[in-house]
This record gives sequence, structure tokens and C-alpha cells, in this order.
Amino acid sequence: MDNLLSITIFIPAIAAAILGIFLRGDDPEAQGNAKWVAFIASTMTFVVSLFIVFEFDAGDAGFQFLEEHEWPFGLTYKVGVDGISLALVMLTTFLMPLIIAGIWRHADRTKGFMIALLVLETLLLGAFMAQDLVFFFVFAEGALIPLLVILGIWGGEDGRVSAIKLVLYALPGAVLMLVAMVTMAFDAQTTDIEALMTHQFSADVVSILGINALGGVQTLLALAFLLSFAVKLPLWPLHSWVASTHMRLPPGASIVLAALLMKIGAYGFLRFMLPMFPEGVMVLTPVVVWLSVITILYAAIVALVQTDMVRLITYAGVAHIGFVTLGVFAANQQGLDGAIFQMVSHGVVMASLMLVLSALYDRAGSTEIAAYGGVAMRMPVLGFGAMMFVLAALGVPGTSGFVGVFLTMVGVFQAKPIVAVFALLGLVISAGALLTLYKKVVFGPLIKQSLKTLQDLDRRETAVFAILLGMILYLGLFPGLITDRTGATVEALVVGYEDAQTEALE
Amino acid sequence: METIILFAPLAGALMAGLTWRVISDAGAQWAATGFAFFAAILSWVVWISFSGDMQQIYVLDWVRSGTLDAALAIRLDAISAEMMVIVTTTSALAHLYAMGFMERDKAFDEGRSFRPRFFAYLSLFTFAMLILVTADNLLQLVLGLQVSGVMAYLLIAFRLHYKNANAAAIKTFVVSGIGHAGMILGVAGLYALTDSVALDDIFAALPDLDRTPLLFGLSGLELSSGLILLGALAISAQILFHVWLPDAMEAPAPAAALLSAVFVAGGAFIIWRLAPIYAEVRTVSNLMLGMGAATALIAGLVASAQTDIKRAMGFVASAQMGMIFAALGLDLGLGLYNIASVQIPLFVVVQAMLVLCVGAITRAFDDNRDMRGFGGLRQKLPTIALTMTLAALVATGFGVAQSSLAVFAPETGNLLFEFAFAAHPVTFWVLTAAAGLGVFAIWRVVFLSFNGPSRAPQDVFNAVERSPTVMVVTLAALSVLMLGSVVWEINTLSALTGLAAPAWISMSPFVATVLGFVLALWFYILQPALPKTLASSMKGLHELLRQGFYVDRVYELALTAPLKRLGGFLSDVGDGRVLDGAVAALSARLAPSYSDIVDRRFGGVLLCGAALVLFGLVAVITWTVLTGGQG
Repeated sequence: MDNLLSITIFIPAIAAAILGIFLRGDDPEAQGNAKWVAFIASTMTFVVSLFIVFEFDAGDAGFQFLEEHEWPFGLTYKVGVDGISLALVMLTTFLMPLIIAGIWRHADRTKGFMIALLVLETLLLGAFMAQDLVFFFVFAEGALIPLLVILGIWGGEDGRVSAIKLVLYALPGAVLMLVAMVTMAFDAQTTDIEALMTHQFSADVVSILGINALGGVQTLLALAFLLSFAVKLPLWPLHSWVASTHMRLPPGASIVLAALLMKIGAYGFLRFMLPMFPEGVMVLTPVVVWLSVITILYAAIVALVQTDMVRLITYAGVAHIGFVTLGVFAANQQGLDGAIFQMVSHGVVMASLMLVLSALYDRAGSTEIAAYGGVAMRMPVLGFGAMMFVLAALGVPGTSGFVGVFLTMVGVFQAKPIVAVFALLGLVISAGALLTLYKKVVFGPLIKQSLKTLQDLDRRETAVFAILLGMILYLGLFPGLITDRTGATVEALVVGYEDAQTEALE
Repeated sequence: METIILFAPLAGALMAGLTWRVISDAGAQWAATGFAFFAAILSWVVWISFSGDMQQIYVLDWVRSGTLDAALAIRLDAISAEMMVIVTTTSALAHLYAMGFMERDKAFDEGRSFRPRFFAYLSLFTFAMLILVTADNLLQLVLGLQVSGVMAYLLIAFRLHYKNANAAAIKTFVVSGIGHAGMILGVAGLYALTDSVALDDIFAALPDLDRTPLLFGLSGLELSSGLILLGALAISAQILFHVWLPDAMEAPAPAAALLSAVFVAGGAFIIWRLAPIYAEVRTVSNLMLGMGAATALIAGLVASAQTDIKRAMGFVASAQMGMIFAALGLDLGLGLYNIASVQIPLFVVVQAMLVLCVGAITRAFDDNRDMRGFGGLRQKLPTIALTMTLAALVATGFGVAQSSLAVFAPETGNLLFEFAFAAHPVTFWVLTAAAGLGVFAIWRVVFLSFNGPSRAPQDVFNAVERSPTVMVVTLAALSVLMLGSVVWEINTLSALTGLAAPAWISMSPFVATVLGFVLALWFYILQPALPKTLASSMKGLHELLRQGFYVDRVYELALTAPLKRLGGFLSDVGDGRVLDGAVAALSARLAPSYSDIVDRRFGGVLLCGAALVLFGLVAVITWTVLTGGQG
């Protein structure tokens, strides 16, 4: 099978098309069918993607399973995976069926919703595998469209305002990235990512409006990418769209956003900035590092005072993704290994936490913290799962969270020790926030009359939680599952970056 | 066999926690307790038959990244063999005790199965401590430390609908979290210095390390080991980090005993384990000495003014640990690691016994913990009175016993105090005063509980019931263990030679001990009205001590509250008005115009999306045209 990647990318899209064309009506039966089609399609995607893992050569640092087709207008369809892509592709295919199974109670125009989720999956997979600038741009930016549609249809009155807010944040970023990409294509005479990685962009100092830009074109290009990806990630001060968007998105979509879509930003750092503009990155590193530290501390402190579960978890999630940027910009083996690991772990953990919220919302119809209390009395299984997920989010060893936090911190410490101090301080503050949330919602006396009839997780939900928890523990105990496969790619990246660094200093 | 010891508590925890519906509530308790005892017996076998050669027993590959390679393994040497015995034995006895203690719990309705969860937590805690004490690399130390911290959190929050229990649990997690952060930084630092996290590699690299000052005139090694010390100080509840322990005593007595004895000893263990490093860094061991001495003094003072019996025992644990840290700090410069090997086991067994006795009292008293309402319990709980007196005797160093608190051994000439004097006279005086205070604090608890007339209402006093047999049996077993440790301590310490110090230095801790005891006797047996008069005549001082120098209040005012205010400000103003404000103003202006044009439902959004797509397409086409389709 030499088109394994394309099959993986397009199974969800085909399923979405089948749903769109053949399925009619919105009665419970049709809804059930829609969910089953989506679930089976995403499961199939996962199964197919397993073959990529099995046949992946962990010792090879370059791109594997390459497919290249000429398209009209001189466009090229080119996909491939290396260690970094693989981690995120697997994260996506692993989480999608679980997310769909987790939100099974969804009963509002379900067909459309499932189509949107499947399209999102295809776009995400495409973005993570794309080996061509245009292709990447269309898939990565296109992923926002289903999100906007979902916000509009399922987000209620305020959803539209949130959607416009999101566009206002995303559009300038997209424009900047596009401009940067056009510049790159002109400079290198190619849109092939593999070729661009070996192309030497000029790092001679250029003068713009009398300001000398150190690192020249490289810095400018890196800056454009940085601004675009910093919105998606997000980094302070470009983060304020996240909370409002999450508040309006229905559970399934908000899980995809937090667990997967936001990872495109970090992926972009690794795919474009570090290998293509090493000298630009060197110039920008202090800025990004301190922005990440501010993001971690800011989001953790803001999380402390949230009264809504979704907002609190979102802010905590933003804080914990700051570790990814720190790891990336430490630009050494542990930092990058840790960053990739943290992306995967963050994805699984955020999906788990948000599924807990969704399970609670399904039952009690509120995301206000004050509406809960003593849930553990009625829902011990949920209480147990939520505890484990919170611990994983806080980076307790034995869970996946630890490996990501620890490796990024080791990486950062080698580059700039003081940064690690602040980052870990932020982690402690977020521990206060998440544990307080847990205390108020799950622990405490069960007083509210409305909660006294809560039903614990059913078998479907228990299975989803068990699989997620299993993955979190497995990754926590056998992190080699990821680091062994990313190792070679990361090593090549580090070597390339360090060579450029020594060259620049000479 | 070592691997079996390590995983037996985990097996017990899984059986109790997951299969209790099948094997019944009682079956779960027996399973957890059985596995704990199994591990304990095997640990004794390993310790007794230990040959003296260090062994590394591979368990599993863990974190690998570049040159960083940390496999989980059991490091079997004199230190870990001894620690395994301490951890598993204390924990097995705590399990046994809990079978009686948890027969009922006020927090849970009868008929609700809460016991399997408690036993699973106890066993998991044991498992985590075993990971810690068998660590072969720094990462595994972090693993054991943090997982046992999590188990401490869960044990404290066991009565999950109690507000105090929850608050105390979070406090413990956050305070120890700061310690863990320090620990991770220290590990990262040592890795940066030596390119390894394995203990052997690091110890081997020590002599060749670069000692040039990096920051504040401290070398990388000093900074790293100082950061790791932070983690040890935090879980050992030393001053500034001690705030979690008194609150943590909220946990049911068997858990409180394990936390204040075994968990707290984990910090001292880390220092002991990394002793070769600390022997190289004089500045850091001096810090250790200072923190330990300050804790011993301050926690001793505060313990003497507590009315809540469990909080008092929490402060006592901090104070005792302070003595051990002081000893370690002194020790390391002088290479006398043996002190830790006898002090830690004695501390653990004595502290566990004290807390378990206290648990028996509060249980008999329907969870009442105010010592002002105790008194005269000797006639109601004679065996508890006996064992607690015995524990207090050992803890305060009477008779043949060499105390862990007032670590003095006449044969060897009061090592700790002689070294303390040699280091600095102030240290000596602080430690001597702390020794006296500690003795006073412990005897105060004993006298207030068991002696004199009862201060409780007659019907309450009459309702006091005897402890379940299994609890008494546990305490008897602990007494035997304690006496064994005492004999062992005397043997070990008498092999050490002290300094040629003046007699008054060697005698002063003994004098302080006697003074502390006599004072307690005078205050609480001979003149029971005196403490009240004293307290009311020095109201300010008494309140200051009772509130533990207001450290909690200061943290609340200086850290927690401002942080929350900052959070509120950033949330409302930073995110709300500034960042959202700008965007909201813009989108509010755009939204209506969309609504005018398009369908009420989601047209505006679709339009946005469409605009985005269109924009993308236009851009792509423009670009293809520009490059002439060369891409």
C-alpha cells in the first residue's frame, strides 16, 4: 500500500460525504445512524493509521510513506510523515473515535455535527501530513471553517459573536502566514516542505523603516509564522479567543479544538520555524520563551478565579501548553522530545477532562462550578476518572503529563534555568486551581437536591474513560512509545539547528 | 524477591480497590493487610540476609531522551534494605491497626463501603514510598516522592465531604508541589552538570565537577543540591513548609500516622540517599542545619500551645524531624552517615506509635480532639496509656532509651550537641532549648490525656469505650519494634566516638530533657491551674504560639489572597476589558451588519468561513499565477 497516508486522511471525509448524501432526517434513528457512521469511520481511520506505526522506521529521521501527485494549476499534493508528524497523526486518529463515543448523547442536528467532526478530522490529518506549503495552508486554515460553522449552528446566539472574534484573531494570522509562504516560495522556487528545509534563507541583516532586523529575512519569516501559530496555540496575549470559543462550542467540537486543533500551532513551530529559519528563531527565542512563561503564569493565575468549569479547564490547558513552546524553543533533544510528548499528553488529557465536563453537563445541564458539589457520592467512577485526569494534567509521575513536563523542563534548564523556575511555579498554581475545582465539584457534601439523582457513568462512558486513562498511564510508564519514534527526527532537527547556530556565530 | 516486595502493596491495593465488590468489604481489608505483611516479612528477610554488596534489580525502561536514560530499578544496598523494612513494617502495622480503627467512621453512613478505598490508599501509599526508597536514579526519586505526595493528598481527603479535610489535602499537594518543583529543577541541574541521572554516575562525577560560581556565588552543584533539598524540606515539613502537616493530621489516624512518620521521613531519606553529594556542599548542609534547628525550636514552641491533640502531634513530628535535619546537616560535613540510619527508623516507629495512640484516644472520645476536655483516661484506656507513655519515654530519651528527639547518648558523649557546639554555639543553644521544648510538648500531651481528673462531662467520659483488640495488638507490636530499635541505636552509636567536649556541653541536653519533663509535670499534674493563669497573663504570646506564629495567616495574606486578586484582575480587566474589549468592540460593530444581510441562524458565521475560504483560494491562485506554476 503506497497510498496509506491518503487513505488515512480521506476516510473521514468520505464518511462525511456518505452521511451528507444518503442520510436523511433528524429523528433518533437517523441520529443514531449518523453517530455510528462517524464512529466506525473514525475507528477505521485509527486502525489504518496503526499500519503507519507498524511500518514506520524509527531510525529514519526523514519523511516516510511519501506520496506525490501533480494537481492542476501547478499545485502539488504531497504527504509524508516523520517522527513529529506521526505522533500528532496518531493522537488525532486515536482521539477521534473516543470523542465521538464520548459525546454520544448529542441530539441536536446530529448528522450535521458528525459531518463537521469528520471533515475536521480529515483537515487535521492533512495538515499534520502535508509536505507542501499550499496544501498545509489550506488544511490548517481550513480546519477553522468547520469550527466556525459549528459555532454558528450549535453555539447559540453568542456563538456568532464568538465566531467573529475567532475570525478576527485567526484571519490576520492566516494572512501573515500566507505572505510568508509566498515569500518563501519565491525565494526557494518551490513549495515542497522537504526541499524548503534544506533551502538556505538569507540571514543578512535587512533594514526596514530604519530598523535593522537581525537575522534578516529569516527573522521576518519566522515572525510571521510565530504570530500565526501563536494565535492557534495560544500564547499570551493572543489567547483571549480560546475561553469564549470554548464556552460556546458544543462538547465534541471544543474537545477537538483543545486536544487537537490547537496543536497545529506547536506543530508549525517544529515543522517550519526551527528547520527553515534557524537564525530567525535564534533572534526570536528570548521573546517566545518569555511569552510562554507569561502564558503559563497568566493562564494559571486566571484559572484560579474562574467560576465556570469550561473556562477553568481551558485556562489550565493554555497554561500547560506553554510547556510545549518552552520545550520547542529550548531546541535541544530533551526539550523537543518533551515538547512533542507534552503535545500528545496534553491532547489526551484535555480530551479526557473535557469529556468529564461533558458527562456532567449531560446530566446536570450546567458548567457552573457552583451548580455542583459532592458528585463523588453519586458518581464514584467519574470521580475516580476525573481525579486521575487532573493528576495527569498536573504532571504527576506515572501519568503521561510528567514525562512531558519533566523533559521540557530538563531541556529548558539547560538553555535558561530561571525560565524553568517560573514555569514550574505556574504548574503549582494551576495545581491549586484544578484541585480546588475538583474539590468544589466532586468532593464536598452532596447538598443540592438536583444532584441526588445523578447516575454514574454508563458502560459506554466508562469504556471511553478507561481507554483514555489506560493511554495516559501507558504513556506515563512507557514513554518510549513516543520518544523512541521521535528520537531520530528530533536529533536531526537539533543537529541542523545547532549547525546553523554555530555558523551564525562565526 | 525485592521486586515482589515492591509490587506486593500494589497488588493489595488493586485487590482492595477494584475487586472489593467480589471479595467483600472484609476481604478487601484482609487482602491489603495480607499483602502489606507479606512485603514486610520479605523485607526483613532481605535486610537480614543482605550481603553488603550493592545490587541493581531492573524493573522497567522508563524515560529515554538523548543521553537521559532513566530505567526503573531497585537499588538494593544498606540504605534501601533498611528503609524497605521501615516502610513495609510500619505500613503493615498501620493496615492492621486500621482494621480496628475503621470499623466505623463518623464521616460515612453505616452500610456504605468506605473501607476498601481507605485500604487501597494505604497500600498505594506504601507502594509509592517503596518506589522512593528503592530509587536507583534521580527520576525514580521524583516518581516516588510525587506519587506518595498524591497518596498523601488522597488519604487526607479521604473523608471527601469534609471541608477541612479537602482544604488540608490541597494545601499538602500545593506545598509539597513546590518541593517537587524544586526537586525537578535540582534533577535537571544535576543532569546538566553530569549528563546523567543515575546515582552511580553522579556520585562518580562529583570529584571532577566544575566548582566555579554561577549564581549568587554558588556553584552549579550547590544550586542543584539546594533545589533538591527544597523537595526534602517540603515533605519533611520543615519550617516555612511545615504548614501542611498539622492540617494533614485531619486524616484518619492510621493515615495520619503513616504521613507524619513514614512520609515525613522520606525527606530525610532523600538527604541520606544523596549524602555523597551533600558531603561536598558545605553551604547547603549548613542551610540544612539551620532549617532543622529553627524547625525544632519553633515547632516545639508551637506544639506546646496546641489544644488539638492531633495538631500537637503534627508539630511534634516537624520538631523531631528538625532535630534529624540538624543532625544530617552537621553530619555531612563530618561523614557520620550512621546517625541517619538509626535516627530515621526510631523516628518513624516512635512517631507512628504516638499518633496511633492519639488515634485510639480520639476514637474512644467520639472524634473529640480538644485536650482541654481530656484527662483521667488512664483508668479507661490503660493499655493505650501504657504504650503511649512508653513511646513518650523513648521519644524524650529517658532511661536506657536514646531519644531520637534529644539525640543524646551518654556513652558516646552526646554527639549531636558536641558537633553543634563545634559548628556554632548558637546552634548548640537552639538545639538544647528545642530538646527541652520537645520533651515538654510530648509529656504535656500524655499528662493532659491520661492524668488528673477527667475534664469531660461525666456521661461522655463514661461512654468512652475500649479500643478494639486489633489496635492494642498493633501497639504492642510497635512497642516491641521500638525497643528493638532503641537497642540497635545504642549499639550503633556506641561505636562512634564523640569530640572531646567539656562536660557541661555533654550534660546540657540531659538537663534540658529533665527540665522539660519537670516543667510538664509541674504544669499539668502538680499545678494544673498554672497553665491557664500563665496563658491569660501573657495572652499575646499564648495566642501567637497557638496560631503557630500566624504563618498560615501570613501566607494567606501575602500569597494566596494577592494571587487570587491578581487572577480576578487579569481575568476581568486583562482578558475581559483590554483584550476582549478591543475585539468585542470590533465584532459588535460587525455582527449587526451581518445579521442584516444574512439568515438569522448562522449566516454571519458561514459568511466569515466563506470569506476565509475565498480569501485562501484567491491567494493560492494569485500565487500560482505569480510563480508561473513552477511550484
